[in-house]
Amino acid sequence: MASELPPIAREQAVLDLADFDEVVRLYRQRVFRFLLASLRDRDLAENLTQDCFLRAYMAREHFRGDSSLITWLMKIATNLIRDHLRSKRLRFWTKTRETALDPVDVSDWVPDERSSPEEDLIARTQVSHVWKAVGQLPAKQRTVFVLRFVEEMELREIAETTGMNPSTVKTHLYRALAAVRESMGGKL
Amino acid sequence: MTRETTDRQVKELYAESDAASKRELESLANSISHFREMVHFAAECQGAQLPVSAQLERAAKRQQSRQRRMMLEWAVALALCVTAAIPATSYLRTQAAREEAQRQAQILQQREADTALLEQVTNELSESVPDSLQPLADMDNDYAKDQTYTKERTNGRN
Repeated sequence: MASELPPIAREQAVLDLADFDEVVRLYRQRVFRFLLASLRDRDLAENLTQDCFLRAYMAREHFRGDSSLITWLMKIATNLIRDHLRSKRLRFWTKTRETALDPVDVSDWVPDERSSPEEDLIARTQVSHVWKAVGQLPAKQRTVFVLRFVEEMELREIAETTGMNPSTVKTHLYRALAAVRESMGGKL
Repeated sequence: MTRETTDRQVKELYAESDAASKRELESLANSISHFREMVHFAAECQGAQLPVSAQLERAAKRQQSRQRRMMLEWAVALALCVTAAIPATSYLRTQAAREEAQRQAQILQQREADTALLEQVTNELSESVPDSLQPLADMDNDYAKDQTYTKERTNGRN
């Protein structure tokens, strides 16, 4: 593919039917990661990642390149999360899944290979507290928090993804951070 | 305590508080950084991935089954509504019929009462003497009878 093209034009070109595999290969991991951090359920994140790419594939004609491809995909993922949470509220009788992710389960994760066992334990405890605090955030705050601190997106990109004003994004981020900080108060 | 000592103490206090805030923020930043690493690690620990076409196919199947389930749920909801509506309609209909019967009975009763009243009025109107003057009329009749009787006796003697 023409590598001289500007990024957005290149992404548009990539969205051709034949190159959709490439789109999935490039962005699947990020979309899955965002969904996993937001929903905390591996199977659900996997299914919604597939749904996200299916929606993107079906709507690829409508992608105008106003935003970057990853922002567009994240926007679809954000809408899928919103739809899922809404239908979950309506389907209150359905069982909770057994595949919920817990930082304790991720036992192979090593914060730093050079760290001592004590530092390792402290890091795991901190992660566990942040995980718990993020889980208690309202949906919008959590989405903004994950996009900023896990996906490391700029405020402008988060605003495009979530369809909020940049000032609203800032407010949500500020509140989310304050809540995480407060809930970790004595544990830092 | 001299002014210089107080200033030094305040500065030390500020410095301590500043250092504490800095430590807290560093720790928070560190925790969030570890959180990010952990999520990245968890996302990377995926099983073998299906080919893209298979993934899209699965998503499409899921979407279809979701749509079917939604239609089924609407159908069940509709059926439940109808099931609940039938006894309710029947009850309402019975209630309406009962109310109508009661109304008809009331009308009939009213009509009978009206007829009786009318008859009474007619009877009273057709009387030659109103009830209130009946005693007078009776007295008049008695007097007339007496007169007749007296005349007859007088005529008989003559």
